[in-house]
Amino acid sequence: MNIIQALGAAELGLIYGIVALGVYLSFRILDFPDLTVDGSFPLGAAVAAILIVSGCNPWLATLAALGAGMLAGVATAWLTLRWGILNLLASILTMTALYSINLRIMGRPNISLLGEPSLFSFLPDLCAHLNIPTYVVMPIVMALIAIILFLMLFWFLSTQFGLGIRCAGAGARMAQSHGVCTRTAITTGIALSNGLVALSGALFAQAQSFADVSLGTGTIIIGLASVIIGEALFHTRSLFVALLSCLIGSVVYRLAVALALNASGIGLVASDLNLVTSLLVAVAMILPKLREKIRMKVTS
Amino acid sequence: MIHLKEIAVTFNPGTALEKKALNGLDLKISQGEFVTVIGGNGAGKSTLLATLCGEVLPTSGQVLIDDVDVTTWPVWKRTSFVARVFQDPMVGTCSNLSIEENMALASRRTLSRGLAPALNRHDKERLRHALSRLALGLENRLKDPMGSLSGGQRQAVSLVMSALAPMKILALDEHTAALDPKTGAFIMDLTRQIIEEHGLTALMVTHSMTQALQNGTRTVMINAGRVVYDAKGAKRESLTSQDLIALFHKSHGEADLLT
Ligand SMILES: Nc1ncnc2c1ncn2[C@@H]1O[C@H](COP(=O)(O)OP(=O)(O)OP(=O)(O)O)[C@@H](O)[C@H]1O
Ligand SMILES: [Mg+2]
Repeated sequence: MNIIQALGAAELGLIYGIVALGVYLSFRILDFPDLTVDGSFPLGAAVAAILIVSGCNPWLATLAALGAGMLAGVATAWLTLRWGILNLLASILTMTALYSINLRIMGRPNISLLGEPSLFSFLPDLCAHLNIPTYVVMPIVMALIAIILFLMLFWFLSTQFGLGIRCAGAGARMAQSHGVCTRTAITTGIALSNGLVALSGALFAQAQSFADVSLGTGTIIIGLASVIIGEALFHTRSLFVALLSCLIGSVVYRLAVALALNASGIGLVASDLNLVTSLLVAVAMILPKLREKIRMKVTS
Repeated sequence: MIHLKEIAVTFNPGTALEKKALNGLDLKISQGEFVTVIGGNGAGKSTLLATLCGEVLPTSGQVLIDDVDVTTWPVWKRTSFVARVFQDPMVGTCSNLSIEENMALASRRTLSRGLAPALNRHDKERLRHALSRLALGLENRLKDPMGSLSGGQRQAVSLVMSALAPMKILALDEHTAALDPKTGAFIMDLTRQIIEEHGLTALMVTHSMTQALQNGTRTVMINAGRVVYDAKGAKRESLTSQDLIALFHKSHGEADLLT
């Protein structure tokens, strides 16, 4: 792996780190296994791409992507909270519907953004001026965006309203008995989670100069893998560190993947990625149970 | 103050599991009364509190608090009137959050939740002070996760939490049942203090006849979803736990004959 590949992996890791923040919010904080993200990531990419090629300002296009993702989250939360559909199933329903919706939005399976304006249009000029290659500056810009989003999410979850959301996820009866409207809290949380994921999709489309309907496959597993790697690296009770570890976990994941794909000895190709990632998540989930079993055997 | 009017609650209606938990229960409680509620397992005591707090929607009947019909109000909205301590401290407190976060959440029970920080320095001082009256040393462990406390400590904190925000009614469901006798007695003392300090109207479910008579101003016995015995004032003064147990067996016998 050379330096350009490593920086590319870091950049991708930071983009998907925002997905990991969203996944941490739904899976860990709200205890809501939300698969909507497989649809809201390409939704964000689709909305941003179609708006940009239609001449919309990239900032507005990115903001619209965020809004679209939040709507997708509201749909899932509504199916669960209003109609009592199992949360996992509700999220699969939204995710499946989003596949068709994304195709409708784009009007075709993929859109190229080469030569179109983007949030990063200013970079080539700046880099030429400073005489630094773009592939170095791009990850730095992405890191800044990811860190700003991480800080905003941390701030939000530390507010009175945010504390209500965290409590609604951890113990709904307790939250209600202290005056938290859990329906509003959970809906807001899931909307925010999917908004972040769609925003990440919009950044991805602009950084990679394309959007594709099939972008979303496996997003949830990649997000979970990042969360799990982050948790393994930093055993923590602090929300600040836990959220930060999502970003770090995602970057570590991408670097590990890049290493594995570049190591000629292993013979992995890019399409093996989903298998490897699923195995990683499965093993990470099995290990604690095995450890417990062994401990019980030892003590008995 | 509180009027539970002809309340009927049927779980799983129309199925083989149909269960009439409350059966035309009628109960009027005036301002400042402290009612202890007794009755056998499955009599409907928890369902009674759940109906008052809004967790269970009655099949028929009305719930009036301060002459306001709150029958269809959701739980979170009723918390402006009612504070509740659960039997299980695991339900009443949140393991993942720290002690101070749990308390900060509880302290805004009757207030709106905005985008101000959940915990500022002023709050922390207030929470520390509130905890110190427990004399359990928890005021120095505000940042510890709630999950690291014992069940009794958590129950004590959840009682303190209920009193952090203003309320009119305190609903207690066997809140000392899971505690050892010493901690239980301590929590009971604290409960009495809180009720007196704030001049609250209170309902306390208990299985201990002694506790039911030693505390409060009125005792109500529930059986098969109805009030079968109600004593206050002089009538209650002369009552012993033996009498209550006799009454308990009598009402049980009658219920058995009926079903
Ligand atoms: N969610 C529910 N679904 C179905 N049946 C229920 C439900 N909750 C309570 N019941 C039934 O309603 C009846 C009254 O239950 P409740 O919990 O009010 O009794 P209790 O007086 O609190 O008893 P205990 O002393 O054992 O706590 C019981 O027969 C119980 O099985
Ligand atoms: Mg009960």
